[in-house]
Amino acid sequence: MDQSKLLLNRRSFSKATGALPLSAVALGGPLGGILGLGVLSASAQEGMIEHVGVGLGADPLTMMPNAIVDWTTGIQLAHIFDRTMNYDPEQNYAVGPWLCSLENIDELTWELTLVSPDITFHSGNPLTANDFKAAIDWALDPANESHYLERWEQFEEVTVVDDQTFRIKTTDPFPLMEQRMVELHPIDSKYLEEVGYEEYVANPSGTGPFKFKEWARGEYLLLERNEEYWRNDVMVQEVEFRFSPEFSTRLAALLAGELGVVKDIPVDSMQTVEESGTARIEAIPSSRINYVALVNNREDSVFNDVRLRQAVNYAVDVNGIIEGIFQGEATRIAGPLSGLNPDVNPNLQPYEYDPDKARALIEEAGYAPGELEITMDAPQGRYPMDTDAALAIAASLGDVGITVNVQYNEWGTHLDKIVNRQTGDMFYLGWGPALDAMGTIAFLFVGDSTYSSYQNPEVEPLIEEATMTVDPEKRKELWFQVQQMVYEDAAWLFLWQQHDIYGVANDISWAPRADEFLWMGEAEAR
Amino acid sequence: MKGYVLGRLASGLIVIFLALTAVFFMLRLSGDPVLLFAPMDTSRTNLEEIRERMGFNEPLAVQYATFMGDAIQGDFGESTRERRPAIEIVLERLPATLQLGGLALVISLSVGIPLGILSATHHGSVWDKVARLIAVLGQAIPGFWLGVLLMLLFAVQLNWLPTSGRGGVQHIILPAITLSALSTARYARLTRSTMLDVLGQDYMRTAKAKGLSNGTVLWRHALKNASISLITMTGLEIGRLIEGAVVIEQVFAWPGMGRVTVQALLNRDFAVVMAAVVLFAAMYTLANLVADLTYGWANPQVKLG
Amino acid sequence: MSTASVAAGGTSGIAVSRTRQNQLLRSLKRDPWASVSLLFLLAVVLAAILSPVLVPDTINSPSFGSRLLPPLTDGHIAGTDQLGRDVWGRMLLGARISMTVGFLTVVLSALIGVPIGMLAGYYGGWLDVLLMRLVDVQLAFPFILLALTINAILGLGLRNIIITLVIAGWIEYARIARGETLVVREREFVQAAHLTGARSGRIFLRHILPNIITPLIVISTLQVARFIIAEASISFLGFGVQPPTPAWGSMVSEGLDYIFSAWWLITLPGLALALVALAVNITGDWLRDTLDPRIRT
Repeated sequence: MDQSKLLLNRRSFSKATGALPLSAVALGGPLGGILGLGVLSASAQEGMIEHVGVGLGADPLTMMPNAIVDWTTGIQLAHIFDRTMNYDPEQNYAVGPWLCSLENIDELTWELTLVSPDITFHSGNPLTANDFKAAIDWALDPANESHYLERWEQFEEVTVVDDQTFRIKTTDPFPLMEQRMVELHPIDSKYLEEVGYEEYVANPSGTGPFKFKEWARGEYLLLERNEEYWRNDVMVQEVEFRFSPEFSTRLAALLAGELGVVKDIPVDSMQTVEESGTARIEAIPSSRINYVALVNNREDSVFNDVRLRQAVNYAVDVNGIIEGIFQGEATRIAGPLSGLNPDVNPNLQPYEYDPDKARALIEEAGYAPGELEITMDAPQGRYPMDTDAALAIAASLGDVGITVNVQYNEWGTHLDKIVNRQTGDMFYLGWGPALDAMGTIAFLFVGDSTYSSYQNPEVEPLIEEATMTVDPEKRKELWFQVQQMVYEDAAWLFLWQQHDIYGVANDISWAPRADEFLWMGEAEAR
Repeated sequence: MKGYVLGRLASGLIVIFLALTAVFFMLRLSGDPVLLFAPMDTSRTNLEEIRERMGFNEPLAVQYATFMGDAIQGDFGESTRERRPAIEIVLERLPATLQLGGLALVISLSVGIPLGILSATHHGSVWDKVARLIAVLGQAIPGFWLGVLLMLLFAVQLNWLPTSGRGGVQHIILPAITLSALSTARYARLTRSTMLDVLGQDYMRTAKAKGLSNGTVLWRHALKNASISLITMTGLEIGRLIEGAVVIEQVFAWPGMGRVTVQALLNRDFAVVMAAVVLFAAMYTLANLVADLTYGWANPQVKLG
Repeated sequence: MSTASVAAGGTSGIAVSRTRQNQLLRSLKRDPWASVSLLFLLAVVLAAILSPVLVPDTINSPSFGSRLLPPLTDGHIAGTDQLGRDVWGRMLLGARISMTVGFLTVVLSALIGVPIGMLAGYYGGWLDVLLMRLVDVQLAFPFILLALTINAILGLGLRNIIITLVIAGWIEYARIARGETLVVREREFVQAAHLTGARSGRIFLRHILPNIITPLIVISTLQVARFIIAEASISFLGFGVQPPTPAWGSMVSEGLDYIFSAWWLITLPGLALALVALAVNITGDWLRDTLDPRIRT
């Protein structure tokens, strides 16, 4: 009898260890003996899970880290390859050390130091500063066509100080260094050199909590426990990322007990999950925001008039939509940053729902009730409840005499229309995970950015100053100012931050995070 | 005979070429692939650099010529998302699609034809009505709905079968049944009407008058005649099964070509769609050629060519 | 409609159409299934025509207070959806849209496909070769993928779905019209008309069309059902009509997200869809059996 057969059923196994400690003792002889031969030590059994299935919509696009920016790919790779730094839920999602800690040496130089000298790759090679340099150099080699080629273009030079330390020199002051270090995964440079790229992506070696086992394209990615994980004792024997494009299929698989974790449960299915007896709901406010852009950087748009932008903010009953459509599972935002963002200006209060004020502003702008007719472009199924929320926003605006025709687009078309400025005067979009002001404001509100479609010559110099300011306090002050201005200027119809709603099997102890980091490294039996 | 087959294959190549041309231009009209794979916070300058690097800034005619030049040599380009040869991405999904489509075809043949025979031999009876109802029902329900209903019943409620994915025999049962529903209905209808037609003809009456028993008459004559239209239909039916599989693969997370092509279309991953077009067209052409050859074999007086 | 068009072009005048009418009526009496189906279809068409009167303008306005009410609560016989909209009212409006999709696509594809098929069948030659290649090219690429590609270019919406379905649907008509014309072309009265110097247009309209129309009508009934269901599949793959347009197919695919929480959102429009497809199919079978049993579909 082999071990896998014994432990075939995750549920019966955890029942045996959890609910009936006596049986574990009784089985102690044969079971313990067999397990002792395997990977489970007797003490590690407590809280151990044999198998967790995680439902995702698609395959990873590659097994090479630092190549492609894509949430689905990144989440899976993060289990094999550790991040250099990471958002820390205990520190309000500020970036903290993971593999390395970061220190600012001077305006253009950053030093990273390994948190432990004893971290090893799955291949057995020790992790050294060289492996970080190799990763950055690989991504910055144009021949490799990495997405990070552009994201890291300010990295001028990486120098290895010693085995535990390396420095990054940037071309300009680079306040985003912490966030960029979340994206960086060291690669096993020694192993890569030995086996070559083809073999490396077929059989990757990282430092993460799980080792690559098998990837059946279109079906699943199977990872097995790294017994020597440096951060903690991994309690999941096997993680299987299972790919199914249809949400209802993933939910069915959760209810049938095939999957352990499924993301993006629609609010109206939460009760079904809770009542299923097999799974429960774990929800958390995400750092991803949703907004409606009020195009002000295109000549023919009515929203060049600030009064109309403000009118829209007064006219839409955002709280009503959050209660009515989201069942409370969304958190209102006042400005362009979510409450989770460390740079958020806490003094801003969301626009009040005041249709009368909206009507007055519209009249002031010179429009009779019913005279304005606007097209709002919206995606379908990209963000939670987006189809319905767009209709509800249109209905709210209809109440104050603005006729809004919602034009739904398939996602690719939506992006295309936004970038080529072919949308109506309003469009619906999300942005995130947005855990720093810079990645949101500095990208969205400068130059000819189309995703915000907002431009303000008074705001831009402030943003420019902030992006060059390395001193965190001073920078924060500038971000506060920018937010205040954008808020008063009603740059967008500010909506909400999404809530990430997960369905989790009852026998798994697992907590979601606000930064969409779906992490099985600390999951255990419940 | 050899000439005939070669001729058909040549015309198949022309079909593939024309299909590729049409799809090439349609795809280029459908939108910018770079926006979909580059992260949203990529600057305009960088987007432009990527377009340049990937050749999307070339005039359409040049892109077309380059593509066709490579395609003739079997190179359909690289997936913009996965950075590996598109044909590889599609080919590795081929077995799953063949498996699903093949089983669905077997089910629809082995259920649809008996159902049609039952219907024809008991013309006007309750059996006929029931069989016809089943046949019509199969054509009246959207495949994805039927699929999810079966999944709810057999996987979630009864826990007899897995909801989705590929693996053991138990994984293919639900998707294959769902996919076969429509074909089963069409086979039942066709069998019924051809059998009725043949049974009503003069020589059948003669055969009966000669004293041949009912069973022999049926099997020897009617079915043989009906088989000719059934074979012709199977050529087309394979095309329709592939089409149905696009939706069913999506529902059951079956890792087939349809699913990968839908994904590629949504991502504007042109190379993958083009490679899929070639494979779909080749499958369709071959299926019809085989059907016609079988037709000639089942019905020797038909001269091919 | 079918009897009328058969009558309009009968080759040997009114006598034939009368016989056919009688024949249809008689067989309808013998076939209760077909009668029920026809009556049902009539009712749906009537509902489709009257729906703008029956359903209030506010049908698509959200009303959060009455979200997801099950059928038969608070005067909502089919319940309400996630925005608190009355499902029955939306289904009535949906009848109009789905019927439009079904019938309009059939009419348009026939208008394109039949003339091309007749020309190819009658004249043969390069036109015929070209047509058959076109048909092959289109069949070689799964229709649903073609639909997605076209919709990706044109954008989401009812009009574009109809365009897509017509592009996919005309070949069926062209194929059948061609095949039937090949047979009819050789018949004496066509040859005679040709010899007496009748204009081609006249030959097509007066002599060929009436003789190939029966199979075309039968195919049309099946195509109506196929198109109505195709709209659902296209919606399911993410290229549907613009919300809040309540086409049945898109209601079914939207309802899929609620299959675990509000069964009526997918089941009721799905049933409507299935029943119409069923009725159309039964009617089609009956038409075929009565008019021309030799057609195999």
